[in-house]
Amino acid sequence: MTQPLIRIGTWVFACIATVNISAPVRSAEAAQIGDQGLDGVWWIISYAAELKPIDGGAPPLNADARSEYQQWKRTLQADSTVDQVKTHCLPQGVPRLMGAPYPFQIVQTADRTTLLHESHHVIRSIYMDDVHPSEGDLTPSFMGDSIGHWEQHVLVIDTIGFQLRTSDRVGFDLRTSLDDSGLPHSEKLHTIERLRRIGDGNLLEDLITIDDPGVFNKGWTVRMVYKRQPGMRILDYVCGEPHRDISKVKRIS
Amino acid sequence: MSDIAEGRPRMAHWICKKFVMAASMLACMVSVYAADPAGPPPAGFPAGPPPAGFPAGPPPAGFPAGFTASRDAIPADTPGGTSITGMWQAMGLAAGWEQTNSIMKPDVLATYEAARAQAAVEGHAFMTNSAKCLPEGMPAMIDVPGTLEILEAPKSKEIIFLHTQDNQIRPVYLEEPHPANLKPSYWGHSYARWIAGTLVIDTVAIDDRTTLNWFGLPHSVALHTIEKYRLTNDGKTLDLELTLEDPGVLVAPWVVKKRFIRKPPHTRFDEYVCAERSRDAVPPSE
Repeated sequence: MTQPLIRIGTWVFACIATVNISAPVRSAEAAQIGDQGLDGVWWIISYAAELKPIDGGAPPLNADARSEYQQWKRTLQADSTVDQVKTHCLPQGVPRLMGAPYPFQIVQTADRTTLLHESHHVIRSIYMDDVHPSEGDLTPSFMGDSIGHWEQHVLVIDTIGFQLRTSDRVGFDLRTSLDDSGLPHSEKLHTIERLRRIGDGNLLEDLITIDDPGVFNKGWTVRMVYKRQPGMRILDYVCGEPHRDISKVKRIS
Repeated sequence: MSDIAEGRPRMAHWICKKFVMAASMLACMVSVYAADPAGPPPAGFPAGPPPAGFPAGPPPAGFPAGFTASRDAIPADTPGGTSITGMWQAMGLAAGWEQTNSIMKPDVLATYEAARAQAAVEGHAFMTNSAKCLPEGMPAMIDVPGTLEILEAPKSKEIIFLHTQDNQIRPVYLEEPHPANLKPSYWGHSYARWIAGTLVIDTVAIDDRTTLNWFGLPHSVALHTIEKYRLTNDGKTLDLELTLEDPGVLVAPWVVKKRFIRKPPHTRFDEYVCAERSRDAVPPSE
């Protein structure tokens, strides 16, 4: 008796889901429809120190930012400075952290989606169906303030409030950047991510749109793809101590 | 000047700043706690004695000035709930977790006190993990009077404890008794079960670079901890009873208690960056 009822229920649910396909869906429901949500451990497929726009070419830097970027790259290559975000395991910000060659875990709960990054043990909280704090209440931070909502099966993450650092208070070179090559940003950085499962569900795609009128002539988008890692766990990551072997992550120069 | 020659004074400068940071954090927390009104519980909240095991009265010896071991005043707008998932504010340090204690083996205590005295002679604070920007790890992380986030992740059969202090990520596993041949780590291996509404977490394989509490009391690799978490006050508070067993440093099991207050949904998980904030705590030289 129960079996047919479940079948009918599933059929009714499928119909409702189909009819409502264009209607906005609330977070908790969206996480249940079609896919299994985003929970699990994910690991980037390929790592690139320099971000490239999805439509080819180079990031559309304005003239000032381009010369600043070239200068920073030169000093890094000449070893006359160190990348303190890397050496002190500081939070990398967006999109730099999303391109890190270490796995991360997604945990979805009632009011937030949490990304637990093995890299630099960064905890990234995305507050669902929420708004950003007002300008006066927003404390700039390395990871910014992230709010999220579901558009069908896509988790859309909006992040503002990134702090810009070009040196620290005691004069160390400390530069927050968009990637491991030192691509600059300003306080106006605003990222919009569209995170969804693709392929057979074992891949996760993050389309990150970077909007920063302080540095770029126009908005541009990068794409990152992660593979699901059943059974894998996020490991301890303590700065200055040995970390996971990441030699299997393909490197793109 | 070579990088190495330049690096040393920088390091000393930096460590010095960490102490300034720790002192300013403490001063800030003391002021927050001191500002909290004593007096009757807020309207709508049942009056009455604290739950069994939560000592009233002054804090035990060794607590920093301004901290109290037990405070029953829960803000009137504290939300309730039926799940332990959420953000929790620790109410000060744990009760019964003094700096020194007759449960410690006398020789262990003597060595510890000598190290503290030596630090004082050398004119610096006693170096705990957090002063070195290392994770507090288990069990000292529980003692930190900061914010805790708990995430229940049923799909991976785990409950994740996130501590703002140094962004510590500590998973506890619901269906995984301790495997054999565990390598000691900062957080150890934690096996959790729900027993009659109480979350019981059993932890072993804790690296002896961590400490028993915030004061830096040492432990051995034989340390075994049992945490019992229970929602109280209609889910407005979370009570913890923690038992420490360590034949290496303790003459008997040590039981401490702590209470957490639920914070509203959407409360931000503050970014904590040890290496960075320690430098920020020092104003630029004039």
